[in-house]
Parts: sequence; structure tokens; C-alpha cells
Amino acid sequence: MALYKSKGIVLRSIRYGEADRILDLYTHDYGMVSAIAKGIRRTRSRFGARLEPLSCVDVMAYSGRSLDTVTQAEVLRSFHGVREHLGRLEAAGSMVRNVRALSGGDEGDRRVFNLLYRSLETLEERGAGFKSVEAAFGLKLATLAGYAPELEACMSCGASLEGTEGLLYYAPVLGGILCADCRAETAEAFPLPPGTLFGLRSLVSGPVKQAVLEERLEESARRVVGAHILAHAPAATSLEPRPRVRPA
Amino acid sequence: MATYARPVERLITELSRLPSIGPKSAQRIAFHVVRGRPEEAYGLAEALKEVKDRIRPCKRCFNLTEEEECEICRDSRRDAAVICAVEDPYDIGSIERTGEYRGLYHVLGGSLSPLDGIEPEDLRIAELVERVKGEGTEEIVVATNPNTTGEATAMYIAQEVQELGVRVTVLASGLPVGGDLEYADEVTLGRAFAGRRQL
Ligand SMILES: [Zn+2]
Ligand SMILES: [Zn+2]
Repeated sequence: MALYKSKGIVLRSIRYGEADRILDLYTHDYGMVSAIAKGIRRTRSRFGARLEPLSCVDVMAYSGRSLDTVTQAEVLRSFHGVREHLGRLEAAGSMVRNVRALSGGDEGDRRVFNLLYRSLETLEERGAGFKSVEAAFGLKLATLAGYAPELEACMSCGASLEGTEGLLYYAPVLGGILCADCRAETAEAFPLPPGTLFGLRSLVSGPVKQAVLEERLEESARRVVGAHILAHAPAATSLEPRPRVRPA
Repeated sequence: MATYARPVERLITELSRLPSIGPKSAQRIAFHVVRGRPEEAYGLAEALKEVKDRIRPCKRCFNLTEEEECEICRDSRRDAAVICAVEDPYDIGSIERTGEYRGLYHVLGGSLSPLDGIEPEDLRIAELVERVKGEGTEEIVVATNPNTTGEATAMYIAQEVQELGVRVTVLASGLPVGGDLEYADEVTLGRAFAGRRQL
């Protein structure tokens, strides 16, 4: 049983058995890790509040056959300012769900860790615009995972989207925008309020710390990001029908 | 291939469905029952049946009871102006044992988890708001667990009853009595400082 040590951010924490919790952590060095923290729910547990969701910790664990076991945790940054505010917590909730959706069984990517850290830091520091941070995070995460949304040309006819008259549509499965003429290409395309495309591009190109959308655009940007990630998550693609005959 | 007679196998299977009972323990308990006196086994069977037949949630506070309303709700000596909101019925036992609380309860049925998508509709928060409106409640003590989901629940409840003029309090958090300061984590110790009191 190998002992290892890494920085990690707690994505999720599920009650298990009498007093334990099973944690999903995104670690700096090994990507997604699931580990059990034994006795953590007892009031006298030596872990205390160190492994609450969203905490960034220096964690020591040994790997087991199916599940690792946490032996030590030190807080690097607790992000309790995010946990103690409903608006921030909701944005962070969707961020960590997206990390779990897009990093099933992959190798670790320290850029994902760094992006998540910076985004939590941004949420904690600002007093408004949480959904903009959530959307910017999702777009950058999808790009790191190799599913960057196409925001330059129509996915069907290839027409440039500059100065296009009429509404634009987002097609999650195609992973990009459809012009008004091509909107019937897939049934699940939905319209974007004017200004959304410009907003999405600004989120993609700028740093998370500067992610600010007009309030009226925040909801549609979130919808684009949520639908895009759902359509490209490894967990979602595994639901597609498998080929009936398996090659020998 | 079953190793034991079918009724014994069945008992082992049923027992191993219980929380924190693995196959080894299930086998041990099953053989204890097989070897033991019949009255003991019938007593256990009867208790299991009785609890399923007779216990239901109190229609006012959702504590477990045999009646329409639980004993706590029916006790006129209790202070009906205060409601303590807890996650699960067994939290009521823990609070009652302190002897510090004389108000009523409300069992939420869990905690809000924005991280896993557990929404307010999954809990009995609307029922709590209705009670506050109907019972003229003066204070809600939110006694959810002191962790992310418990505290998110407390914040949400405070937001929901903001307009109703009811005081919302949460349990103090800080250092566990009997522990050493040096083992406290930063968040817990920080809370303890924020909530310090004059002697
Ligand atoms: Zn087109
Ligand atoms: Zn009751």
C-alpha cells in the first residue's frame, strides 16, 4: 500500500457507515482521487473541519484496492467564505460537479487544479457576479478537457458569425453555435439572447478574475456551459448505445 | 451454492442488508439466533413488525410517533414559541439528553446540498415556513450539523423566513470540550475566537 502526498481540493463528501466520509478530491499531482476519511464525523475527529467540501488541503493518503484512506490533512486554504454564502456556494457547486463530470478516469491535469483554485479564490473575493465566474470556469474547463466550444463560425454552414442578423442558437451536441438559417440542424439547439456570443468570447479569452457579464446574460451563459459540458462528459457518452456486436 | 439450510441463508441475507453489518457479522448474528431461545427470536421479530406497523411521522413536526402528533408536540409544558430544526429524528434524542431545551422541534429530513444537487423541495422547509406562519413562532433554532450542507440549510431557512419577523439562531460552534487546542483546525479555532464570551 503506497503512501502518497499531494495538494488537493475536496469536490464532494458523502457520509459513509457510522462516522466516516468518502471524499472526492481533485489533486494537483494525481487528478481525481476517492478516499475515505475514517471517523471524520465524530466531534473529536482529528480532521475537524479540514476536509469540508471546497477546502484546499495538503493531503496524505495510502492507496487501497478500491478506495484510498486519508491519514493526514492540513489546510492550505479553507475557502470557508465560499461555503458560508449561498450564491457563492451554488456557483462552486456547479463548478465541482463539472470537474467530476469531465475528469472520469483521466490522468491528472494540474491546469484543472490551478483553474479550480483560482476560480474559488475569485468567488471568495468578489461580492457579486458569481454566475459569471461559474460560466468562465466551465468554458475553460471544457477547453482543457479537449472540448472547447466553437464560437467563431456556424457549426453547419461555416458562415462567420460577425454581423449576422437574427438570433444565434447554441447546439450542445455539436459543441458550438448555429446561425438562424441552420437552427433546425439539431432539435436541442436553443436561442441565445443578443450579446451572449460576445459575452462567451470574453469569458473564454479573459482571466477568470475578470469574468463579468451583464446580469441579463449570466443565465444564458450558464445554460450554454451546463448543456455543453453535459453533452461532452464521459459519463454522459457512456449512456449512448454500444455497438451490438463486439469485435473478437 | 448455499452453504446452510435455506431459512438460515435467508436470515443471513436479510441481516447483511442492515447498515454496518457485513457478511461475517450477519453470519454470527444468524447463528446466535439459531442457537438462542425461541422467545428471544420471537421478541425481536415482534419488535420489528411493531415498529413498521405503528410508527409514523408526527403530522406537525415529523418526529417519529405512534399517534397523530408526537409526545413533544402534545406536551403543553413545552415552549411552543420556539422551534428547533434538526436534520433527522435521532438528533432530537441528542438534544433532549442535554436538558437545555424546552421548545418544539421540526425534522427537516436531511440537509441542503448545492454541491450534489439536493434542493429545498427535497426537505421539509416549506412545512417549517407554514408552521411559523400558523403557530406564531418567535424563534427558530437551526440545529443542523456544523458542516457545509448543514450550514447551507441554515442560511436557506434564514432567507426563507426573513419577512416573517421570526428570530433565527444557530447553535454555537467552536472547540469540543475535553480536547486540546493544538489539534483544532483553523476553521473551528477561528469560529471559537469569533464566538468568544466574557467571563
Ligand atoms: Zn449556418
Ligand atoms: Zn411532533
